[in-house]
Amino acid sequence: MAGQVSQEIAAPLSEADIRSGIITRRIGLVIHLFQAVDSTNDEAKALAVRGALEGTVVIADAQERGRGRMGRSWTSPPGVGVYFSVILRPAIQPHAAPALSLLGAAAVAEAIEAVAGLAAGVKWPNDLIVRGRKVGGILGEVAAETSHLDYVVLGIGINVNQTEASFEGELRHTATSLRIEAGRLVDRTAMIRSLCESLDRWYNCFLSEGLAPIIERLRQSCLTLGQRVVARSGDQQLCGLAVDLDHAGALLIRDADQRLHRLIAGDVTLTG
Amino acid sequence: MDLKEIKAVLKLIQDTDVEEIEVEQDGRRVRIRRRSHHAAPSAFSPVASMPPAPVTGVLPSAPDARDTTSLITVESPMVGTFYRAPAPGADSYVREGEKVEKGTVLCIIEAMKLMNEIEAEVSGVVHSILAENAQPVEYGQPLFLLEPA
Repeated sequence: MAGQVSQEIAAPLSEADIRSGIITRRIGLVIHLFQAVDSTNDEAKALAVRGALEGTVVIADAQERGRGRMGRSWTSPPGVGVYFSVILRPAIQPHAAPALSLLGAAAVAEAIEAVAGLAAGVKWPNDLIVRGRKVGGILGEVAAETSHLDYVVLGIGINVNQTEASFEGELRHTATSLRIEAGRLVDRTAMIRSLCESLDRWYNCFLSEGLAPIIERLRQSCLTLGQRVVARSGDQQLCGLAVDLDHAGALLIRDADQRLHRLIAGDVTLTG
Repeated sequence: MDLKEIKAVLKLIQDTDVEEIEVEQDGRRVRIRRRSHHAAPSAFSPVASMPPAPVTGVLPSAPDARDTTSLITVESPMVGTFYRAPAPGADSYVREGEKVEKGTVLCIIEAMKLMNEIEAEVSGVVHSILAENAQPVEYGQPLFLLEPA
């Protein structure tokens, strides 16, 4: 059994395997697979600047400099995770682009449920949570002028087959993997295929119907709703109850004076 | 005209459709151009939005190259948080007085964990930086004044 485990983990991703059986309209029609890159988002941005097609996907077996937000690192060892970036070019105004983070979160949650059989919740706006610990995240980057959006790159990182020993220090309490939660190895190729398909479905839905169906889906899986939160944006701080998502995906927070605030940027901490 | 006065003028026209104004004071003129856009709701704020500020005291005048400093405003394309550096503690992308090329990254605006690198649309010099690091910015809020080369 131990032999099978290490063999499975070591098996590199193959473009042919990923492609076989994928049925999508846009996402993953072109796939660039790398053994290791600094960051899949950087590769995708470089491809986008050179005119890559919408739906082009960059996948790496490992990232040398995987990034979270604001220079925070995202540990990306080889063979165990999904490190994935997709190029989107929707005809929307730049100020509407942040909602695509939510689209990504909805798609990842769905793929996790489909492949690993786990209920994944979304901590607004971009953390994927299984049983209270973070299993994945999304880092979106957009290239836009004031009134013209050039492209959006959605970077998605999912901890798939890490073991408990993979997480050190604080991460032991805050991070997890699909394998730890499901109690079995999870096929990364199936995960990537499912992710392409759910992204494709939600993106097509977004283009034809707008954000409303995505918001509706997220209301069901958003762990932040109904919780007491502290929201920080710059040096401003707001405590209150997260009550809903608005039509643009902003988090609505009711403060102690019953005033409603909408939060579109900043960090949200659940205080229980 | 000093920076404080320029900021006051920018604040005055922020919620309006004014695309270009020229202000003359004590024989010195400053002309400010911005891109047009439609107002969008604000973010980290009460849900009821503020009415746009009235336009007063803006005196358009005939173009005159002499004694006129032409500045281009770089406005935020979205509601979000303004970051002057790629990570806390890292060097700022640009400083006042620094030369920039078209395409130089000036700052990042973050909203819902989507990062928007704002690039200079012209080559020139960073005349002034109008927003504070890690502070919320509104849609259309002036972030930089660039003096085109």
